[in-house]
Amino acid sequence: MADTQPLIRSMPFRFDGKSSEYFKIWIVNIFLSIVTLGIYSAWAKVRTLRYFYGNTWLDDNSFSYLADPVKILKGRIIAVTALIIYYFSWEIYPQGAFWLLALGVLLFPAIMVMALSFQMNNSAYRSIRFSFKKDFRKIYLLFLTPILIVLGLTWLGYSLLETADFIAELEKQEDAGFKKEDLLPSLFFMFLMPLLPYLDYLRTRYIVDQTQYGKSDASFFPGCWKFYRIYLIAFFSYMAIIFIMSFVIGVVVAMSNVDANDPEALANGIGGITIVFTIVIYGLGFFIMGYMRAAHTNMVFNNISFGHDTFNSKLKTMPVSWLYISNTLAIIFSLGLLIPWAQIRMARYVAENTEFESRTLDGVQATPETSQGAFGEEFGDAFDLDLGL
Amino acid sequence: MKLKGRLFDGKTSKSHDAYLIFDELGNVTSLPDIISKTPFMECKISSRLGNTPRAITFPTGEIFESVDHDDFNRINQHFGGQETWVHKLESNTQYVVFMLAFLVAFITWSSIWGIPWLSTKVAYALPAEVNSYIAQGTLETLDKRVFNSSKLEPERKLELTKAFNDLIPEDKLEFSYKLEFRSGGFIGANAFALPDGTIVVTDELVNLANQDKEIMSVLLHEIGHVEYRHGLRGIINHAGLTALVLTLTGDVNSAGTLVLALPNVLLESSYSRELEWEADTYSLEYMQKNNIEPEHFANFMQRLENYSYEDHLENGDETADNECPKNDEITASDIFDDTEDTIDNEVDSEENVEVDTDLGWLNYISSHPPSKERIARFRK
Repeated sequence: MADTQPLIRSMPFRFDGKSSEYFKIWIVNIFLSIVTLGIYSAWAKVRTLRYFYGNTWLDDNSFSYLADPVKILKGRIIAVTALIIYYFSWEIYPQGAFWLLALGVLLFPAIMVMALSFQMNNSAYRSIRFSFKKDFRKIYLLFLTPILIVLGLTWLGYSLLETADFIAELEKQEDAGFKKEDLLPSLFFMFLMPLLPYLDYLRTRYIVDQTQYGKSDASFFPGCWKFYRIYLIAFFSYMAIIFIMSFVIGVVVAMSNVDANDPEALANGIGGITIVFTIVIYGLGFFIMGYMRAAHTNMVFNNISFGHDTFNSKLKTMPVSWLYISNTLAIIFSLGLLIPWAQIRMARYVAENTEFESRTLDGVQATPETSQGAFGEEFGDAFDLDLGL
Repeated sequence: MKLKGRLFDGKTSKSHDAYLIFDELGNVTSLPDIISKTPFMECKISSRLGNTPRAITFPTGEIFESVDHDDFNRINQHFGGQETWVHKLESNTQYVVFMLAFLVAFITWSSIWGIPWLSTKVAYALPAEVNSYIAQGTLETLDKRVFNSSKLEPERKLELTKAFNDLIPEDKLEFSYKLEFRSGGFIGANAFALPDGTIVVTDELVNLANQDKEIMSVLLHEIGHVEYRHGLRGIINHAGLTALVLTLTGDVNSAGTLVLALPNVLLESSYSRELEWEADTYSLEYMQKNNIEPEHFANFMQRLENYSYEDHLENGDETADNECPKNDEITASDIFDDTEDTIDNEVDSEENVEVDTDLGWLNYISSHPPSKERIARFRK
């Protein structure tokens, strides 16, 4: 094989969806979902994904989404039932609801695996389906160590602080409403935060490693520092924005004629500035989101390989940010009617800036078909988890 | 008849440019010769969706894809295949305009009138015990997180409880009314109603009143919450709105959900204001029946407002810091136990200051109607 390898071809993705066409599909989806009290939503989901897959082209062949709506409906019914039980248990028996939540957190990796498996098994290109090697043991073992470390540190931090004088004093102040148990969640998140990029790395690596296109395996190579780099840049940019904006506010207040000794005037003056401040922070936040999306997608896809074949993802921060900003404004000012347009634009940009580099796409073998329930996927959907790569 | 497209053998990813040939008996062959002669009836045809490729799947596993939609339709119809009705809806602009008009009307109607109407119907249809179910554990949670035990004299408590017992509606025994006293902690002067009939007043509120009639007017407002089943209705309103949003965004990504967040907040608070207004109506009606002049409620509201406003001024710089935990605390109790609708937050200092500092538009996200309007009702 090695000496007869043809040249590597770089093949761009293409997206052919049209806003006007998709708008009609979208309206019909919502209309029928409401008229059928939500039952049609499973069919709506399949039609939406079929539309996006079917309009995504690579080397003159489109992708296809093949899920059976009835399976999705079954999954949805289970997920909605679970949500209702969860919701009402908060009303009736909060302790029980807390344990349900804990159970949900514990089951989350398994549900994620089932959802990914369903999604992959129903995605195909050139008649060959993708698949996902379900390995529940592996995913639990993967997350066990970091989570145990975080829990251990939380416990350690809590036992140190518990005896501290200032905590006891804080608790004595009646008006503060402070209980020392309040520290637990804060400590947990404090220790979890630095591990988030690492957890993201573990998750991404697991997903890619378990994915197959026909009999061809995907693999993932970067070290986790690449994840840290992106998260740190985003984090420090955000800190910088907050810092600069606080400074600007300080200067504006100092230069204006607001009497600092008159609390009412001060409150009024700051009220106006705070609104501007919030809008600017949100606006700049879109650039950080744009950076995260572009850098993260590029880093992940450029490190995936199917055998000798690789991706070339070229998303750029500014265009992605602009898409986020303009899409959000368009959706707000059209009262949601431009949602289809926004989705189509984003899909087109991503497709047009991704390439697949391959010698040949012809040689991939199919794997025997296996049936797959939609429970995991719909469960994930109902709890609004991000399952995308 | 011929149809141009791409043929896959179903076993490898190799894509062949190919034609399907249909004979008059409805048998299909391919050019190049990849599939064996198959009756068209035995093939699975994917439904039309926009201009995405349509697929013909053969019983033996081969897949043929084509984007020549006109040819595809002609052949499909020739052999008795029908276009799905969904595609007919999706491709007809007139139908879509009609559906859009229906959706706009339906969403507007249900979010403004439909959901509150439904919640009222459902709340009254459910047995009264449901109200005590949802109140379970709420007071314990509040005691743990917010309140301290009351420091009022036992005689004073007895006096107020007696007066309270006279206010309880006699003909209805669905709720077991009970008056509880607590020290308000960081919440200050306030009164709460739990759906089962438990009503909590804080020491601060009792001490702020000039006369007991003022306290009674507030207690009547709280009884109104219980009588009209506001706790349950609030929960159903919330669930109804969630169901509507879920149906709307079921297959939309986060962009849609983000945009729906604001209308969601606006609607939730408008439902809450509606219930407050109703409780005020109850208070007004029963104050007159119990020979308490409506003036007292107005006077007390005014004092509450001044009290919370002075609170702001006294604290000066700390105000902002003080407010944050306050609101966090209230949302936290809402997360642990959806009591935001049963907790009657009379002295939400934010709300009252808003009225005074002319941030009028913020009233739209307030859980209570503007105090000025509430006071005016009782001054007529």
